[in-house]
Parts: sequence; C-alpha cells; structure tokens
Amino acid sequence: MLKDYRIMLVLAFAGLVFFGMSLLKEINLSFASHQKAYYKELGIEDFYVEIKQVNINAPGGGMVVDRCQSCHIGASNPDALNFDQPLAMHPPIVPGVENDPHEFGKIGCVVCHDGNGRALEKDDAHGEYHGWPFPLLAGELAQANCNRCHTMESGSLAGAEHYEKGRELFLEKACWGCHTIAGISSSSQAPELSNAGGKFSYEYLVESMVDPAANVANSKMPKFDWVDDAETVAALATYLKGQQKNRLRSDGQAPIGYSKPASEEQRLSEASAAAGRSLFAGVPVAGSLDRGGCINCHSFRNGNGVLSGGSVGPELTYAIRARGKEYVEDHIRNARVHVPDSIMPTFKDYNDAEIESLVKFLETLDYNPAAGLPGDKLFEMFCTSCHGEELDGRGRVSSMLDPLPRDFNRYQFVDTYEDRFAESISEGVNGTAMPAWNKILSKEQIASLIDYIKTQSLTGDKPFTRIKVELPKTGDPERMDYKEKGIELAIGDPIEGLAAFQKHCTSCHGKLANGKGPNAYLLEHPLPRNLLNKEFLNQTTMSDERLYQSILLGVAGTPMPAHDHLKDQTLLDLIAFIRANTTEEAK
Amino acid sequence: MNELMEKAKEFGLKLYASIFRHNFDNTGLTKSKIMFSNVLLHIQPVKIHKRSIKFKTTMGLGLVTFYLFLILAVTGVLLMFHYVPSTAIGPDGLPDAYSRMLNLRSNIFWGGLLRNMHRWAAHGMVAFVAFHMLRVYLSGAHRGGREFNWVIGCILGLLTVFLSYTGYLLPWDQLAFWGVKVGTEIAKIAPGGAIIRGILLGDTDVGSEALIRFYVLHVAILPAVMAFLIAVHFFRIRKDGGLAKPADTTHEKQIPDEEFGEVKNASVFKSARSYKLVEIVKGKEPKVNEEVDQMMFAWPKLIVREVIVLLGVVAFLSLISVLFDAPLEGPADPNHPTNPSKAPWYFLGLQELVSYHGFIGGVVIPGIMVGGVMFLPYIEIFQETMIKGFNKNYPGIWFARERNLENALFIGLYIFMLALILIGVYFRGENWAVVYPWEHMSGGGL
Repeated sequence: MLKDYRIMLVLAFAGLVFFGMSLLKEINLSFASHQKAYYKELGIEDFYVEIKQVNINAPGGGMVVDRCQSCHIGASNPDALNFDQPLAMHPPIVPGVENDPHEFGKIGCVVCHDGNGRALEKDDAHGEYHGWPFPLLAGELAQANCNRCHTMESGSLAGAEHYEKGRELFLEKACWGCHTIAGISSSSQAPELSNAGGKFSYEYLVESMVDPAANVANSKMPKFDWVDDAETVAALATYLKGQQKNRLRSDGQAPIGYSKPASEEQRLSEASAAAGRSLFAGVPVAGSLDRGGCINCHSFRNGNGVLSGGSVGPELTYAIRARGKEYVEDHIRNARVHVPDSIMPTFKDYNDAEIESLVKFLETLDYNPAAGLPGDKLFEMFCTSCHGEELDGRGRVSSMLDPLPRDFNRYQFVDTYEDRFAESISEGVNGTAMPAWNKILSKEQIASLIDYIKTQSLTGDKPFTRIKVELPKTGDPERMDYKEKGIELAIGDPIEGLAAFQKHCTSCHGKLANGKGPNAYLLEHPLPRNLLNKEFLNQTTMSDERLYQSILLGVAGTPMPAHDHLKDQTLLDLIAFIRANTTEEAK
Repeated sequence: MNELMEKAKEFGLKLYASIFRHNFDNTGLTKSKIMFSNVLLHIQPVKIHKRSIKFKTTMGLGLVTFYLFLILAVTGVLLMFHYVPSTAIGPDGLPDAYSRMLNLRSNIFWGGLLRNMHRWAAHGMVAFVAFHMLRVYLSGAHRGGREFNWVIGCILGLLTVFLSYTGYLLPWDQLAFWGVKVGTEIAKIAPGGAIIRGILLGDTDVGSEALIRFYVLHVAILPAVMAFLIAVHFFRIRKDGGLAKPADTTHEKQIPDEEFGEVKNASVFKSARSYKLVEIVKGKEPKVNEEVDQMMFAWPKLIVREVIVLLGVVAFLSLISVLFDAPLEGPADPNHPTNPSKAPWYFLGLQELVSYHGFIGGVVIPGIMVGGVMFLPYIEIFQETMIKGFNKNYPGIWFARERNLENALFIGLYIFMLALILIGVYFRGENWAVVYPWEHMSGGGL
C-alpha cells in the first residue's frame, strides 16, 4: 500500500513537471529575448517586452494580423541599421528617396514578404514548414507583392526591377501565347495564371518552369532551353508570384499614383515585314504594345541557312511556300482548323495587320538549299526535324506533334505504302504537320528522297508483301458467308457502324473516336488515328478502299491489327460511321 | 473565545458531515461508507475480488481507454471555444477552420498543448481500445455471461474509430482533407455505401457541408452515444459480477481477517434505503459466497491504483504533447491531392487491402472481420450448444490451454492488421508504390 502511494506521488510530480514544461514552452518565446537584446544594444534600460502587432484591414472586411515586428523590432529604426538580424533596420525600398513611404508600423511585413504573420516563432512565422502556402519571400523576391497595393500594368515601379523584368520576359518568351493573365492575354491552351501567385508558392512556380512535369505529371508544357538561366527563371517566377486575385487595394485605387493610364492600348495598324520580324522574335514593335514570340517554339533558317529558334513547333522556313499565305493566316488564328490535335495556341487577339505582318515576314524567308543535294542530304535538311536522323519518326520537334511523324524504320510500312510516298511528300498530308513540298523540291529530288528512305529502312530485312484486297461493292456476296446463304452486301449503315465501333475499336481509338482510347496510352509510336480529323479523312487519297484495307488487313508496321474476323458488312458500316463523323453534313 | 472556537469547530464538523458522510478510520464500515456515499466511487462495488487489483488481470487497459475518453472530452470542450467549422475564406486567404488551427498554435495560450493532447489522446484511445480487446479475448473475459458486453465493447470500439475519424477532418488541412477523402472513397465500394457517404458528406464530395456534419457528429452525437454505451458497458460489468474470474477460485489464497478492520456498528444501512437479502429472495438461508474471504474492500487500494493509472496517463500524455506537435499541413486544397494520400493510421490497413482489390479488400474482408469479431462469443456458444463436449468457456484465465486455437487465430488477426497498417504507414510512397521508410518523408497516417 505504501508503495502505491509512492508511485502515485512520483507520477503526480512527473505530471506537474511536464505541465510546467508546457507552460515554459508557451511563455519562453524567442521574441522576448530578441527584444531584450535590441534594447540592450540601443542602451535603453527602461523598456517593456510586448508583442508588436499590426492589423492591416483587408478590402471587404476582416484583417490580416502581422506580429513580425515582435522580433524584427528595429525594422524602421535608423539607429538599428547595422544590427544583426532579426533586429536590423529594413533597407530602403524606393531607391533614392529621403523618406520611404512604406511605414512598417502601418503596413507590417507580411503584405510584402508573405509568411505567417500571426506566428511568433521563427519557423512558424517564416512559413518554413511543409505545406504552408505562402512561405517567406526573402529580400528582393518581395517585389512580387508590390502588385498587392500598386497597379503595375503601366510600366516600371521604382524598386520592382525583377518584377518588371519578369513581365518583359513573360511577353518575350511568349508565355502569354498559351497562358492567360487577365489584361495581358486570353488563351485557353494552358492553365490560367491570373492568380498564379495566390495559388502557388514561389518554389512551385520555379520548379514548374524548369521541369513542367515536376508538379503536373502529364503536363504538355514544353521544356524551354532558357530554363538553364536561373536569373530569367527567377524574374519570371517573381512576376508570376505577383499575379494574385487577393489584393489589398480595390480596382482603380492604388497608393501614390501608379495607376494604369486611361489611354487605349496602341496596336499595329499597317502591316510590314519588319514589324512581323519583331513580332516573331518577341521584341517590342515601334508604335505597338503587342508582342509576339513565335521564335520560342518555331525555328527558321536565314538566307545563309543558319537555323535559329525553338524546337517545340515545326520549322517555318518553307511555311509560306509549302502551305500558302491563307493557310498560315488561318493557322495563326486557330491552328485546329487544320490540325485538330495541334497544341499551337490560338492567337485570336492579333488584329489583321499583325497577322499580315507575320505572314509578310515569313514570306521573306527564301532559303532553298535543295539544288544538287543527294537523297541523304535532302532528308537531313528537310525531314530530320520531325522524322528524326534515324528515320524513326522521333525528330526533335516530334514529341509536340499530333499525329506523330511516320517511323520509316518499320520496313513493313515502307514496303507496303511506298507507292504513296511520292504523293504524300509532294502534296503533303492534310490534318497533320506534314506540308506539301512540291514548291520546294523537284520530282527528281522527291524520288531520290524516297530511294533514300527505302534503302535505309529495308537494310537487312526481307521484303514484305501484303495481299491485295478490293473494296467490295453493294450487292457483292458477303465474304464471311460460309454457309452460302446468299447474303449480299448492303450500303454501310453509320448506326450499325457506331455499334461495331464501340465493340471493336474503342480500346485504342476511344469512345469518341478521337484516337485517345484507354489503350492508346500504352502505345508508343505511332498513336491511334484521330478519326474525327476531317482534314485528314477528307483528302482525296483517303478513299473508302484505303479505309477498308486498313481495317481489314491492319496498317503494316503499326499497332493497328488486322480485323479479318469482321464481316464485310461490318467493315462497310464502320467506314460509313467514320465518314458520317467527318463529312460536313454530319453536323 | 474558547466557546466561540468550539462552536466554530462544531459548525465545521457539521459542514463536513453534510458533504462527506464518513470518517477516515480503518474500519470496514467506514471503508464501505466511503464507497457508497460518493457518487463517483459508488460506480464501483464496496468489495471487490482481490484478483481485480492485480496488474495481470486487466493491465489497466480498459481504464486507460476510459481516462483517455475523459481527457478527450475535457480538451475537446476547451477546443470548442476556439473552433469554427467553416470553410469560408478569411482575409488572409485561409479557410476559417484552418485559420483557427493557426490561432491555436500561435495565438492562444496553451492552445498548442491542448490540440496536441487532444490529437495524441485520440490516437492513443484507438490503440488502447485494440489493446483492451486483445486482453479481454486472450484472458477469456468475453465469456461467462459477459458475451453481450463484448458486443457493446465492439460497438464502442467502432464508435471510437468513427469519433477519431470525424475529428480528423476538422483541422481542414491537406492531411485532414485527403485522409478523409480516402476514407469516404472506400465507403463508396460497399453496397449502399454511396448513400451513407452522401448522408455523411451532405454533398457529392468532401466540402463545407461535410465539415459541419463531421463537426456535429464529433462534438455532440457520437460522444453522447459513446458516453451512454460506456455507462452500459460499466453497468454490465457490475451486474455480471465484476471482472471475469475462473469458475472456481476457492484454492486461491484467502485474505486474512485482520485486513478487514472491525465493525463497530452493525447498522450500516441506518440512513440509507436499502434491502437486506432476506427481503427479496425466497429460500431457507441466504446464499453465502464461498469466495467471500477473497473479497477485499475497494477503498483505498483499488481507488489508489485507479488514480495511479490516471496520473500515469495524464503525465505520459503531457510529455508526448510537449515533445511532439500535432501535424498541420497546408490548408485543404481539393485541386492538389497529396501523393500519397493516406487515411489515418487505423484505416491504413483497410486502405492497403483496398489497394489490392476494391470490393474484397474494402468490404468483404473488413466486413467478415468486424462481424466475426463482434459475434465471436456467440459463435463459441453456438458450437457449445450444438456439439457435445465442446467447451471454450474459461473466463478470467490467460491463455487457457483449451482456447489455444482461438487465441492463436485472434493474435494472428491482430498481427495481420498490424502488418497491413505498418506497410501502409511506412512502406507506401508516391502512387502507393512500395518504398523503404527511410527513402521518403510522407505525411499521412497521423
């Protein structure tokens, strides 16, 4: 019994000690020692340790609590200029001004520097723990938040150089082509960034630029080559961090006159190749506020054949010659008119003069090295950017193209379809990135190209022959009519075709017939055809017979298998279904 | 002056006597009076079997669970003063509920400790329910008339998990949101689960409605049901004759007479309305329990031991709460799932099972386990009724030889669940891929 009482006493004592520890933890906060050190250094003996709290009224009620100056107590005291952190004075914000207009006693710290203003312990206050959405923006990164109080659209705000540079870069690097920021661009090609800073941390933004797949695994954003330059990325990230919906000012009201000018934006009114060149390069055009930046994705060769530009989209040296003016104009306005799966943004904000300028610039590109080159050199010059040096359809821009460029390493494919090559090269393939080369290459040159492709792909492999089949006509006997019941083929019925499609085709071509079925993700190259691609399916070479052969026998050298277990009638129904989806009357 | 002192003393004694109706001398009468004149102590019998206070009988596990419930009630009520179950976005861009968590951590005196204690006590309670259940089963205490109490205990266990789960959502951080999300997705698999899920969430997804419903369940409905069932649980222990003991304990050592003290006054029931045995039973002689000499007074030994357990629990919990902060991630963001998204640890075994097969792992196996465990004693009784010579009724005996098979199976079940939970907590990384614990730092589980 005595032992029991002893245990009881020990436990009670231990409990009291732990309780005391928790009390100590609550009382012994570091700001008190910081304040003591601060007053000691200043030589003040009569002081009172207290929490310094600033309440910033937010528009629409409520307030933001800011206790940072409990530790950063010398922030606005010139005597504390050379003190150690956290006691030192804040360096001047606006350069060259006697009295800085930012009063920390009034606006606090979190407004510019983020972090968790209500906290009193360092890690907590700086937001340096996992998952805190607004970690501290130390030093000059705070420029991202000038935007909270000042309207920044009109140009430079003294002291916000990084932000300004980021804005320049956002336009120059054509980020605006895909991403929307309210008031700057309106594209739906990529996630909107109007509230990028409100949603994401600075680190997240940097990470997503350097490696787009880091945070969004299936991101389609290209990896640009300027991401090696830390300064560029930092400036852009600062700018993006500044894009926040949640602001401390209301529209049209900002401190000290940094509001947007009332004048309308200046736009280009007369087309010229020079303006087009500037737009293409993303540099400012005299007399216009608009920006381009095509060069971030597209490359071209100048008169000397030197290639420059990005490798996201196809090379444009021959664009006007191969595609024609009208095609290019429409393509800039909406690329999906021609290639339904193109990732090129819609530049619908360009006015006619600007689009014409771009076309005029592209017209000036007249480099043509074709004369006298043998087949292999021709291929290297014109084809490798998409079809790859190894002829494997994996050239440097290929990953962004849809449909993917042909892989000529599949000798079955080359052997089966070689008689189509000449036409595909000279006339192009509608609905894909393959242009018509007949304006640039002569018949002989095309023939030598085909020879080169054949020799490369067939090396060491036996020739491949595919049986010949003809499209059966209405009234012909059914191929699968083994019992000889005398079944005759009727006209293809799209409704029956839909049922058959849902049964046999959707795993690869998808329920919507857009080529994105569940199994399509397991395939590598080429991917299932988008059967809604009107441009592709309505070109003259895409006859019913070709569709019939492709379904019945499969497409040689691709994952498309033969379907000789299907009845002829089913095949005709399927063809009718595909046609019904892609002809004009279908709508 | 002396007279005044005397009168004051007399008044003091009267005051004392009006509150406490007993002295503190060492007589059996006083000991019994202490027990039944105090509403808190009267929950317990005046005399208990001497086995009851042995550590090995219960290991105090049920008691620890009960104390944790009390601590949770107290800290929970205090937390309610600071909490708002709202997802409205405040001026600093954070949901209110989450903002309150930050307040608790940085702005409220002892707020962090309060939250830590509540959090760790909740996890502790789930664990101790499991320990308590294991102890009861292995010592055969679910038999010998206590079968239905086992069922109530199982319901209490489920309630504990559900209470902990509803509380898990309230901080409204990423951990809470995605942990609960995982749980509710598992519920979808069960037949009718979608309807229950809809009723619980009040929406098609975890959102502001779910937060309010979980809050009400957590602070009002579930604790009330739980408190009632705890009362039933305790009441039935009393009515079943105290803690389970072997049918025959006559060979156990008897308590010497001198430990009982003297009875000076036979009129124990002088002022209280009570019945003597002869008033309520028919028969020639009152039944005299042959175990009577192994019965000891509950005061003070039992009470002291219970206080020891209480102090131990409080001390240990305070220490844990001072040393380890309850996790708090960023505010809940339905657009950015954490990877991996893990349910709280007591559901991680289930999540692990679901990752193998939705219906079998999420419904069939857990259904069989919960149902089977809950009705275990009745399965035994059924067998005993149907099969001659079959007897598994050995209450109060640890690892009874006759129950080796049952005990082994039950331990196996625990090891199975524990292994699944350990795999879920430590060996599952991004995309639920197998990783070694030292290879990743992932939230979730706590």
